[in-house]
Amino acid sequence: MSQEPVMSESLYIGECPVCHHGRQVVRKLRGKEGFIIRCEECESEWASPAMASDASAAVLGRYDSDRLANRDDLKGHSWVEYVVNWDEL
Amino acid sequence: MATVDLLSAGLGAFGLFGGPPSAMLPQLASLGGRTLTAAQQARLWQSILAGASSVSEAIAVGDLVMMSSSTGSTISQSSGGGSSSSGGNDELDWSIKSSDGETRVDHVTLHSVNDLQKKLHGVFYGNPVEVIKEAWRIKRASNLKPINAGGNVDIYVIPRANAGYQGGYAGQGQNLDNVVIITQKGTRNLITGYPAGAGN
Repeated sequence: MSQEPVMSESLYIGECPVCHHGRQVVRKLRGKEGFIIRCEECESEWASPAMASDASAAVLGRYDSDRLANRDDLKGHSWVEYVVNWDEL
Repeated sequence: MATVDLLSAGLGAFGLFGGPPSAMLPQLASLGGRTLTAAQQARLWQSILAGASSVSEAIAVGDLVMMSSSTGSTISQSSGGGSSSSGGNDELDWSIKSSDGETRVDHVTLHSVNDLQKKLHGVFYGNPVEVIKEAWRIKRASNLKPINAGGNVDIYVIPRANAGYQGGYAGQGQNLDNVVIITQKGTRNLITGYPAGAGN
């Protein structure tokens, strides 16, 4: 281990059912209201947390402009209950 | 692109016989200035024989792409750039960018350092890009097939000793002897690659 570890701070709802290696991160769409879920590793996407445990419901490349959501973005939103690390960040 | 014409190399005529004369084996072993494995030599020889037919075909042989037809056969050394998934080579295409502009090199480089926010995070011992390219060559040589886990991606679990170690908050630094390469389904368009154990 030649480098110091990093701590990537992302709001996430679980582990990806497709690749089993990345977290399912909440991302905010740019230029419009709304959020999506995307695996930080394999980039599989879901339109909502309710379907995000289903690998077969994943899509790829449907959303082309977004960024990591932060607490301010998501405060008061119904998706907060899905976020695993809401109280940690 | 360097090319070697099989007919001018004196190999095309061997299609009339059952196999290559022993005197020509050294040429088969190093055609195009590249060293071929025994398996690649066997495939190459089969393709030379198949070249007597009228069926045109392209067969990837390691880093060599062989074109054979009724008029003869040529071997072309691939450019190695992998810039297009529709070209004749079989290299990974690294051109995808994430919605936030992250390149594939940026993405796989995240696996050069541990990430303790993730449960598991494979960390490469060496240069991620080079190890992934090497793993893809192994995949091609072994004709390894992908796993499709239900999404729109293909997942290749490629044996590659000492690829990296298991990081993340649940990782215990154990050695990882596989490289996972994930591509867009049915393409060579790289999404990510990372070291992994046999189970992931």
